[in-house]
Parts: sequence; structure tokens; C-alpha cells
Amino acid sequence: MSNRDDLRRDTDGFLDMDQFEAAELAPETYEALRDTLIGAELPTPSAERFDDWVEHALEADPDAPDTAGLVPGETATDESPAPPDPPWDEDPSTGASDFADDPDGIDDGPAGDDPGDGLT
Amino acid sequence: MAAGESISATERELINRARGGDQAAFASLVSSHRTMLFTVCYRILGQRQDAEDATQLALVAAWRNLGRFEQRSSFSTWLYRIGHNAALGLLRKRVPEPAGDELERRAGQRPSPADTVADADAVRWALAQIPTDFRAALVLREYAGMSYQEIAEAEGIRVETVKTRIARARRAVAALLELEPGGER
Repeated sequence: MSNRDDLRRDTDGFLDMDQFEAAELAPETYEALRDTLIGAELPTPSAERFDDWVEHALEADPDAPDTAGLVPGETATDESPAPPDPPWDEDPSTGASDFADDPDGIDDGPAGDDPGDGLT
Repeated sequence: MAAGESISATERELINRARGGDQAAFASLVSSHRTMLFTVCYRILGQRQDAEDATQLALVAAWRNLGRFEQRSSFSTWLYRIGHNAALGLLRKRVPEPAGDELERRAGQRPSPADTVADADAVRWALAQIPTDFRAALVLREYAGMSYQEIAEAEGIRVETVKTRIARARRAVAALLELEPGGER
């Protein structure tokens, strides 16, 4: 895509990303992109200014909860598999399946509400 | 140390001392990540003041929660993830998502491609044109050096989705900066 004025935008005004392929760039293009991204000047704070921020951070109560949710949950490991969804709704009070006696295992909906699809 | 690398003995010692309340150890630990932490925040937010605020929020959160860092990832990855979360939090609170009118105004101000090699304004402008979730993934990959897996965990999405977002974001930014063959430069 050579003309950036022709790029489509979504309703929020951002570029519509569906118009871009999810394929890797040509190596020379990627190299140029990397050079541009990394080479662009940044208003990086001075070491002294950063030290002031660290000093301020150290005044914070270390036992205060992370109410903003900024910290990654390492304890709740991202690698643990989620429990499988039950194959059918269970009555939370008894654990019994609504369809325990249903031979075809298909949710036919509430009793008396047969849509007439011949599944019951 | 770049994201994704294992923790060095020196860094591990600093972490352990900081966990024990050694403030000098914490200062030493984070000071080596000063530039990259700020870069992650700045490239997501696109504004210096917001990036400074996000960096400070990240430092406070890191100090308060160092005991939760289990050293399963490098310290830098953990810290950059906090910075990423702080930046996105500020973005949601302070900066309205660019509407069409605002982008049209920005488009009128965009830098000429003729002078945009390594041009800070051009990069900032280009990154601001892509949706936040694409921009965040690209920033974590290109600036923080995080792996696809680490980004997937940071963003709470699948690795395949990360790959797609980064590839499309690269193409979009390359097109905006007219870096692709057939572009104007």
C-alpha cells in the first residue's frame, strides 16, 4: 500500500487494521522500520529525575494493595489450563444435570416449551 | 538485561535485598531499566507528561508488589508489563480515543516523509494512527523486546492473536511512514 491517504479508517478514526496483511514484512522493509522506530529520538527523563521518582515510590506503603491492577498476576499462573466447561448446565444446589435422563444429550429447552423440532 | 533473558545472579541478589526492604537495592534494580520503562509508556501514550506519570505509577506498583514477583520471567519483563498496564490505564482515563475529526486535524499536521527518517514526530504520529491494542503489542515487541508468549500473557490474548496484531501493526506503520517498496521513499 503506497499511498497513505488511501488507507481506510474505522469509526473511531484509527486505521482499519483489516486492510493490512498479517504477513511478515520484507526483510529490508522491516529493517528500515526497526531503524526508524528505534532511531527516533525520545524525551527520556534524566537519571536525576528518575531517581526522584524512585525516591517517591519508596515512600509508598509496601503493604498497600494493588487496587489499580497494574501488577501481572504471576501467582495466578497464565499457564494453568482453565477448567473445562461442563457439558451441560448443572443445578448448583445438587450438581445434578438437567438432562441426566435425556438420551440424546441435546438441550431441548424448558419443559412444556417444545418448539416442535422433533428433538424431544 | 533484555526482556526474556534469565535473571542474573546480581539481579537476583538485588531483588532479594529489595524484597527485604533494602531501598538502595530497589533503586539500583530499576535504574538500569529507566530508559526502556519510559519508552514503553511513552510509545503507548504518545505524550511525555502522561508517560512520566505512567512511569511513576509503575515504580510505585513495582515497589509495593515486589514480593509477588516470582522470578518466572525476567525482572525487566515484569517491570515493562507494569508500565504497559499503567500506560493503558492512563490512556483509558485521560486521553479520549482519537475521533475522526481529531485525526483529520492531526493528518493536516503530519510530518512530511521527506524528513521523517528517525523523526520523533513521525514515529509518534504513525503509532497514534493504529488502534491501542495493536500499538501496545508492537511497542512490547519492538521496544521492550518481549517474546510473543510474554506479550500474550501481558495482553491476555492468544499467541496467534499477538502475531497477527504485530504483523498488521508493522505493515500499517511502514505504510504510514512510506517505508515499503513502492512507497514515496
